[in-house]
Amino acid sequence: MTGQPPQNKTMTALLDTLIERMGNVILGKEHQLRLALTCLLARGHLLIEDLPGVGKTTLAHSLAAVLGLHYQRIQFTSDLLPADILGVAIYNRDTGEFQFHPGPVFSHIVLADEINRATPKTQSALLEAMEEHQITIEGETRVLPQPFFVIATQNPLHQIGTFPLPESQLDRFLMRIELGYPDADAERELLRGADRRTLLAGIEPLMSAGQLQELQQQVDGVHAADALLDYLQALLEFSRQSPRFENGLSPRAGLALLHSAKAWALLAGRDLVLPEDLQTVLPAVVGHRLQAAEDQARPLSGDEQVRLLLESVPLP
Amino acid sequence: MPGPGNALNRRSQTWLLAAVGLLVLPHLPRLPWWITLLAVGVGLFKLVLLRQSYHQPPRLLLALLTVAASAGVFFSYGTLLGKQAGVALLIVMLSLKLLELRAVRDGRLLVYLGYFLVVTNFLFTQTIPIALYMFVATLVITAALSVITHSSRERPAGSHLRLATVLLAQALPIMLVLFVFFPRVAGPLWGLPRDAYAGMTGLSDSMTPGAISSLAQSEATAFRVEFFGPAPEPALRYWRGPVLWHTDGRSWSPGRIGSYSRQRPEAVQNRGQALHYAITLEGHDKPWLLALDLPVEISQRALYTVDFQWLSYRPVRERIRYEATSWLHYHTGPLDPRLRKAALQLPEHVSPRVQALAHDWRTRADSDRAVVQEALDYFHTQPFVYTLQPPLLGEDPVDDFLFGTQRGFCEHYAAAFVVLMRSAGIPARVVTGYQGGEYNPVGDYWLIRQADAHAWAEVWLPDTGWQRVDPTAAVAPERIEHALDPDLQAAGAPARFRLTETGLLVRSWRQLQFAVDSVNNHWNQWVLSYGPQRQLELLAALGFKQASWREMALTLLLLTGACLLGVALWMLVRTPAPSDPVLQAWQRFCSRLERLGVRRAPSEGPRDLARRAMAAHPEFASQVGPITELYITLRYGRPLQGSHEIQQLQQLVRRFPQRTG
Repeated sequence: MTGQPPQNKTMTALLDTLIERMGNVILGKEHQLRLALTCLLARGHLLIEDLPGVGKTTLAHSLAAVLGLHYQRIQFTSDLLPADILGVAIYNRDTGEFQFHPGPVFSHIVLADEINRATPKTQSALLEAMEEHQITIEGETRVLPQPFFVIATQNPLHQIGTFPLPESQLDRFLMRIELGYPDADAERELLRGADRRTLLAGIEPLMSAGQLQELQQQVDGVHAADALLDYLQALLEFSRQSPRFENGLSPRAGLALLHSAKAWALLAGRDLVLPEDLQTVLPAVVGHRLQAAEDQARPLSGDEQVRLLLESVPLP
Repeated sequence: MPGPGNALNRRSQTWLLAAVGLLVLPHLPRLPWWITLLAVGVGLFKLVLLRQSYHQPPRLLLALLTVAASAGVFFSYGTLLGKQAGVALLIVMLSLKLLELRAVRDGRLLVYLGYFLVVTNFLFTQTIPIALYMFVATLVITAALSVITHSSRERPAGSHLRLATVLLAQALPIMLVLFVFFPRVAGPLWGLPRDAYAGMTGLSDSMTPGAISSLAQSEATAFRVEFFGPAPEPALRYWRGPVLWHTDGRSWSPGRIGSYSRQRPEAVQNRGQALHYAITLEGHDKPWLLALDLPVEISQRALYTVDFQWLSYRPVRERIRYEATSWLHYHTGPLDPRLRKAALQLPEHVSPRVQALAHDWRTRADSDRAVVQEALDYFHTQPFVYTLQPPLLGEDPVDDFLFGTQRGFCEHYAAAFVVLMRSAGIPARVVTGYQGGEYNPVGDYWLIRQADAHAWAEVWLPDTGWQRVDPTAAVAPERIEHALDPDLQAAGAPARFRLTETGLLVRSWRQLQFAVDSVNNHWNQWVLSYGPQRQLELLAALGFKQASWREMALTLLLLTGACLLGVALWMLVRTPAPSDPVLQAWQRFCSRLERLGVRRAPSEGPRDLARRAMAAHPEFASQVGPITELYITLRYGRPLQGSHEIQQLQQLVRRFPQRTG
């Protein structure tokens, strides 16, 4: 009864298969995979904050592989320049004209590894591209390919010599997730199994870019009832009224929450949003937007903030 | 500066203005003219400010106004404290606060001051119309509080008034409990202002010509009487008040008689029937407890004077009710020589004409009783006029009255009669009190007004003891049968009386007046005069014997605290019933699940709950699933046509939990 129109059945099954395929490569991280896919469906960008070696690159790579999308990885370093990302126009002696050589940003999926290592100027070049879905070089505006999905990673430790993204820039990312260590079973399988790179190479694309865009459009059609919007507004209101937070959630955060919840519902094969959808995506969506108030006796940690928000707002 | 969130909007300010206007209105006639002017002026100015969006007046101007107005109150009353000055100051401040309404906080302050102003009104008057008016005013000011509290959402005026009504209705039981059980302490708990008892009318302990006639112009109630049995005939309805022995020729005073007892002396004996009745006496700031002549017993703790008056231990300042027994025919026994001397006291100068008249009667009559009759005949036959507005009397009032003006009110006749009797060697004294009364058929009681104030004489005769003689009755017998009509008196003219009217309109009007006074009487008896005594009676009837007011206060405090705690807990625990039938059904389902041990966390969604419930109670899974899915469709799905699904959900929930195979 709460399911979806029959013509979407195949699409749901396809999405499930997609998650399953990726799960074969990235073991024991189904929730994070779903969130990443949700983020993509909601036309947002993803920030992964974790230690090196937990599978950030693999995630980005596998996502690109199953979706049949073009994928580029940029390793951010302190001497990286905007042109290294966006591309350069070089004079062509044969034609006597400047010819544009597109940078790695001209891909469907861009992995910006260790984004906080680059200078703010370089960071903002990427962030602008993320926001506008187009770049302007030498007075010429070039549209980025669709869909365009940036996965940035950030190392929360070893902050020396880095340029951490300011809060306003963090807001550009729809979600921030952590991968974390795999559990014992997944780890054992990982150790026993084949090389990840081989596995990645063997992934067959299950979907085309066009199909993905169609799915992205379907997200907008997912129904959010008044009752759900009431709940969402209550959450926003609480974050603004509570003295435990420095600043409340912005209207953009509210929109981000709604979009993510809709995408999550679609991924679950529903055409209506449940409060649970909102609650599920909430930690990833608001985690990097909330700031604990400093004047409290003990500022809340990120997890505690999210828990406080979730537990303080009752659902009728 | 108030932020946009807590600034008072125009609507709130209008409500506050209306509420303050309602509250200040009944005070206006009592205030000095300039405060009335200030309050009305500020109100109108505020109205203009509200209609056109001018800026608020500057703070400095307001501060100056406040200081000036406080000084004005001080100079008008000579103080800032006390009932009148305090209320005046409160009204001045309240009016000026209207000009300083900026934030919600200002509005709240105004509302709380307003509540206080409601109370101050009752310091001046406690009639039913004022009580009703104050109820309306309280309603409006509570609605104003609602308006400023919900200022962010525009709601119709009716909804605020409704909320205020609900709030006041909820407060009603608390009000009643506090009214009945709040410890009543005799006399004020804390010092009342000095002028608290000003303006009480009643008999005075001295009599000068004109004292009673001025009282007789007042329609105010003196007391009310309920007879336990038939009422005495009009000629016997004399209500005994202060007895006056000593005269200086012009004014009369009680003199130095002293000598009190707790009960009737043995010598006083009944010669007829005894009458029982209850009196509700208005406060008059004097100790005497009026009763029918001759009072012999009283339910109040009181002293019995040697001249047969009952005196309270302290001035009667609030309405009291007591029962009394009187004898209509009696013998007061022998006369004490000391009293005989006091009863024969004459002013230093008694005119020869008066002495000659008394002497003439003495020689003609063979007994004291015959002398009395001579005097009454004299008043009856000579052209004396009974008038409420007699001409002024000269140096020797008695002589001037008897042989000059011959126009007077009861006090003139009583005084002249007693002087004549004493001159003739008969012990005599003046008795003041009330005479007559009006029967209220609606409430079955007698109403005695200040207009019924009267003065008569008592002479001591050997065969009866003290005997009442009313010279006024000899002049104007109608006075005894009918009440005076204060509205119809003209200067020097014969007194006009309230005669039995025959016109239908007049009769209906009287009937209405009776009904109003009857309601007033009940209000007085059960609301206003609910004092320590009544409270003790009521508590005794409820089984609390001899409760001290401290115990009562403690009990009340504990009870109230327990009640409030209970209410607070209940409010904390309960979830308000939603108006949405879908949500109602869902919450019902949740509470039934709770009985099964699956308690929904406040922010738990339906799917999560269903999952948990199914895990805990797999036997109900076939019901939990459909209910949850239906609820989700109805609440989070696209709007459906018709209410079929809602009914289905309600039905499913009603059947839950039901163990199925």
